[in-house]
Amino acid sequence: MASPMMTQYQELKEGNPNALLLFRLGDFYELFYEDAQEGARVLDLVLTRRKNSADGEVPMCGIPYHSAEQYLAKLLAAGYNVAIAEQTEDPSQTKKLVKREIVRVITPGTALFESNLETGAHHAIAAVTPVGKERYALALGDISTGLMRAGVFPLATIREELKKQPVKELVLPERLRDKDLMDTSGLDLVVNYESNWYFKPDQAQTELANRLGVASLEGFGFTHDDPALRAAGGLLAYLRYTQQRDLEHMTSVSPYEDKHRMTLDTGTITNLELFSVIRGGQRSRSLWEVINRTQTAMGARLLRDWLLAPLQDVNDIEERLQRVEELVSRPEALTNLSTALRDVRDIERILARLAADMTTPRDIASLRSSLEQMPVIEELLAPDEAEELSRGWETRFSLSDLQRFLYEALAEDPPGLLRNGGVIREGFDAKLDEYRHLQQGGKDWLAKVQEQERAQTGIPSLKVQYNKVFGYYIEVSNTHQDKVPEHYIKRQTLTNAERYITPQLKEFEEKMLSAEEQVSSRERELFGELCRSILDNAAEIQHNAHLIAQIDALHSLTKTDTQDHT
Amino acid sequence: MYVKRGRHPVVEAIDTDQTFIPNDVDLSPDHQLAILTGPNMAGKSTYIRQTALIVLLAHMGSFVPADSATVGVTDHIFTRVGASDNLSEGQSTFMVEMSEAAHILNNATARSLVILDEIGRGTSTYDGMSLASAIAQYIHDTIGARTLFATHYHELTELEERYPGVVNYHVAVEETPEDLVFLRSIEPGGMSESYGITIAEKAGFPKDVLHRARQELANAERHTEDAPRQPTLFDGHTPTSESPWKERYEELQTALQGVDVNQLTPLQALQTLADLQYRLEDSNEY
Repeated sequence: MASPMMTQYQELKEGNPNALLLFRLGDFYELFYEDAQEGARVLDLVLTRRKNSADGEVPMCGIPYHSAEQYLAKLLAAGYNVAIAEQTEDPSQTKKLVKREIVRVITPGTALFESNLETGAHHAIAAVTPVGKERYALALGDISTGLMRAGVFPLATIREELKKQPVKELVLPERLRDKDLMDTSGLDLVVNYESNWYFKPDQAQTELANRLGVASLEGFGFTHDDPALRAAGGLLAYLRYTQQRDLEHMTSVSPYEDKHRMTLDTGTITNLELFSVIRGGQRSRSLWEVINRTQTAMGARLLRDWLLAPLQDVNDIEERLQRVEELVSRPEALTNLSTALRDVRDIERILARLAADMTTPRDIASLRSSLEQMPVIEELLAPDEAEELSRGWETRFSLSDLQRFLYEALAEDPPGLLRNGGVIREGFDAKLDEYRHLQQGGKDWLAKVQEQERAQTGIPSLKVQYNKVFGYYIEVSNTHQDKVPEHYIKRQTLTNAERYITPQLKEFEEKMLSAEEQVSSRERELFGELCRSILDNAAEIQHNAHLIAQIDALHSLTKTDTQDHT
Repeated sequence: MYVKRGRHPVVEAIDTDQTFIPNDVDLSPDHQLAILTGPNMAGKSTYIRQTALIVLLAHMGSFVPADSATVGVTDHIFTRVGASDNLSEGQSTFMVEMSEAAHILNNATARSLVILDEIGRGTSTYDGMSLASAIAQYIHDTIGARTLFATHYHELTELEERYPGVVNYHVAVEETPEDLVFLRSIEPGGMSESYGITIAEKAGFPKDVLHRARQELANAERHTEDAPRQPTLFDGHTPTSESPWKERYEELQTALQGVDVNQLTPLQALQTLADLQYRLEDSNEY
């Protein structure tokens, strides 16, 4: 009979047979059995054996949790999916086996950590499912920005699209496993499978309707029971599986609008060296490198889309050109715009990390300062002078309540990690302030104790201090050992000093620890509320972000270095 | 479409120390297919790519690198240029070239822009030339797409006389007794010479090879009346038995004929060339 822990491991593994399972054990993620063998090979780790009377010898290897990202990146690059099983209850609060759950499945197309994402480009994932004779539904998504598009195409077009983006991961219904749907050679992607169930018309519709909070997808430009939605529903279900949660930043799905766009096939993209140079020396550059003058990652991604799918409608072209010209005609506003845009961070990806529960206080601060640029930019566009340019900005969401909340609740310069504390602004929450006051009062009290003890013992160099191992203690140098009072309890001997505790200090320590725990739990709670209120406005924030991306892309077009034009 | 003083946005941005020579493009409805001839390295590729990029940028709503540009709405930009990236995928250069051409012929419309660079190069001269000519005629007669056709087959310039919509251009060069100067400007009319040998000279070919090549060229030109038959490189010149060169040349001929161009990587091609040169230098000792 297997040990309870290995039984737990087996259960989690069975639920995710196509992924390496990283099993959290204290400060490590451990891999067992075949996973351990593959992991040790790919990551160049030492393969050890866990010996246990119940389990026998189990091959295992582990990676430290605090530097897991670099190992995960390697596993992804080697084409693996990785399921992460975390301890989901506090080990100190239970006497039984600690509960573990899969919190995330990391795949090349869905991993949100920084090193897996390219800044100015989409991180595309696609789902394809057959919907008729020679007709296939394609959904193209980007979990890092919330983008999702869907359409129905012949297979050749889909292959082109996968290459063009380029798509990192392709999701197919389970029944196409081993079916050789298409030749994926020359495409740098991994193929994964999702249950057939999610690609069924009804189920796909339900998945989408639930996520987008609508009864019908017609509002998004699809016909009732549009076959394209089958791929979109399947993709969404798969993304939900990988993040193990509802993805609140996936707020829309739109139909492909190919009729109004010029077609550039991948051959032309390569031949014209739009994004990469075919050959040639170090001085060669792609068109993209020459024309991209965007200031934000969102602008860069949009400009990239514009370059990949130029307009084909004369009116659309004229309108965009008109907007560029209006910008050019106001050089001062243009300069200020550059400056304002430079302070805008990647709002879309911050939202994605928020939705995936991977955000940091600093992320939220970036979001706040980025949103603060919105009115500045709007002002610069001055609708009375630039009619075309400011088009669309009347639809901007003011989000003033959210912004006020962010300003009032979040510290001016919060730390990178929530557990470091100091995330919530002073004066925002009475309870938190009270706990903090207690903490602060403690520090003052400590200084007072030091004074008192020095006076009572007559030891001028006596110190009251704190460290993580021993807590609070009194340190007395060896020269004054004879003056140490009886009620001091010796804790540690150093070469030139002794450290003591007293019952009074111990009592104080408990009070401080509980205050600290209260501060951090209250901060966590408030930070959660902050995140919640942002996610509740996800669609509105994305809309605003898109307005910024547009202005940034237009701003970049004004820099396309040319002398004259018609 | 009409472009006045168009430039290549990337080349212009990189070569800041060199003045970029701007060029016009005129593909108006009555002459939509331009045949562009001129020696290699003279700027044919830059010119046709810059035209495609101008069309692309115009459709993005961007300013374009030109004094002025009138560009009709374009549904698709097709390109078939140079040997590119598929070599590693195991297809032969020529097969890649032909499938790309097929894609264009099957999908281009009257609203497309088609850019063809040295199509037909991957096969024997007459094969390639015939294919190139047929492609041009099909685009002219059936598709009606605006087309820039860069080629070193100057025979294609004859199409201008036979088809109303075809117009010839060439890249201007100035030949001085010592040198060949690329003016990088596009001029009306075809070019009958490709200056291959002059360029080989610039590249540092041994004098004997150049001399031999000039002889071969003269021979070949005399033989054009005998067409259609496939000229071989050593056609029309059989070294006499008393020539000390004979053996060497036969050896070289065998070596050259044994080269399968479609199977060579660029590096192998260079090595083959170096090897041939090495053998020739050996011959000079005679």
